Amino acid sequence: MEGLPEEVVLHIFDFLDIVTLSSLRLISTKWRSLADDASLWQKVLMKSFPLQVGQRWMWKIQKTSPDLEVFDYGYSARHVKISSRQEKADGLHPAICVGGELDNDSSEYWEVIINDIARRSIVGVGVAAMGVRMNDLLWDEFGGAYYSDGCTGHSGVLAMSYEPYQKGDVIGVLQWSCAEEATVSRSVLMHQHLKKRAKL
Amino acid sequence: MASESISVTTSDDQTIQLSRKHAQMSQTINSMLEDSVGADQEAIPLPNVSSEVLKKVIDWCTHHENDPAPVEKVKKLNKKREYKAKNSTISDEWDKNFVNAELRVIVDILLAANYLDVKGLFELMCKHIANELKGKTPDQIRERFGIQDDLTEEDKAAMRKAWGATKNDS
Repeated sequence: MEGLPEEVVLHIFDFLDIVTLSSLRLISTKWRSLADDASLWQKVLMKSFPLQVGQRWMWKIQKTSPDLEVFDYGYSARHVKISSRQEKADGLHPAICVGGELDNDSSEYWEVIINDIARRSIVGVGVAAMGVRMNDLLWDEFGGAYYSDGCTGHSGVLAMSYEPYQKGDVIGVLQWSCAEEATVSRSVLMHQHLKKRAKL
Repeated sequence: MASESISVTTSDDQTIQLSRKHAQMSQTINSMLEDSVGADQEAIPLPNVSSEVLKKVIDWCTHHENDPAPVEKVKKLNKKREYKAKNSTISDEWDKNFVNAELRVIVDILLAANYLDVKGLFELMCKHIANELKGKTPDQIRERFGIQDDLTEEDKAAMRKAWGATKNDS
């Protein structure tokens, strides 16, 4: 693999689901930088979210287990931390759940960006409806769970990891755009987000 | 009329004859042939491909010589706008057998297919490697591909710091 040109490796990655892509980040520094290739993540992330432009979403983070703590660092970003070790028999560790509500009366819309879901060992992201139990979720091909009832737009996001989380681990940051950015297209937002991330 | 066989010289200085049909399955050789129409056909040098690997490529071309030209499919997003990774299923039994080889050989064939621009073979090798990666944990992948874990504790600590976790939290 070492001798393969970057464009060939990225072509191979095109065949991979988001779960595998995320776990590639944990292999080595070289693989991490390849898996972080902006165009690839843009493609995967954007297509992973069934959010429609032109819809208004009100978001809140809800705790999926008593072991989760939600820290609010201001109006635009929230950190979700684990307050005790999480263990799961099936090897996947649900971590974040975001609930959304659609307001059809408004012409504004808000967008939610999962800011760097793969920063540590989160291997999948999916969408789950509010009030839907884990067992009711549909498991999709990228290892996330999703549920959407389509008309009311209740929806959410779950992130998961192969590794058990430790107390104090920050597992993700959720961010949504503010109103001034509402006319900016989603691809531009995602691009800015990826550029910002590259600087970290 | 153009001769029916083409000579190529491999990286290990072997001269190998291949049929015009097979040679033309490589876009790289094909364009070299087009550039030299009417000129005396000398052996085409392939400095990046060994004879061992070229024989494998010819094997593949022989099996696939009557395949229809690949059609570029335009990917459509389905209604739910979900991300669908490209399908990596290898359906041809002969192909399945062909990719059942050592990783080193697979990588060499992939590099040759890339250099020679043999589309179908290139796709096959990429699919095979993707399948090797799928559903494996980082540890399993490191073992399979012989990769050293060079992510240091500092790297991991830096990642956490970037996320605003403090020492007291851990």
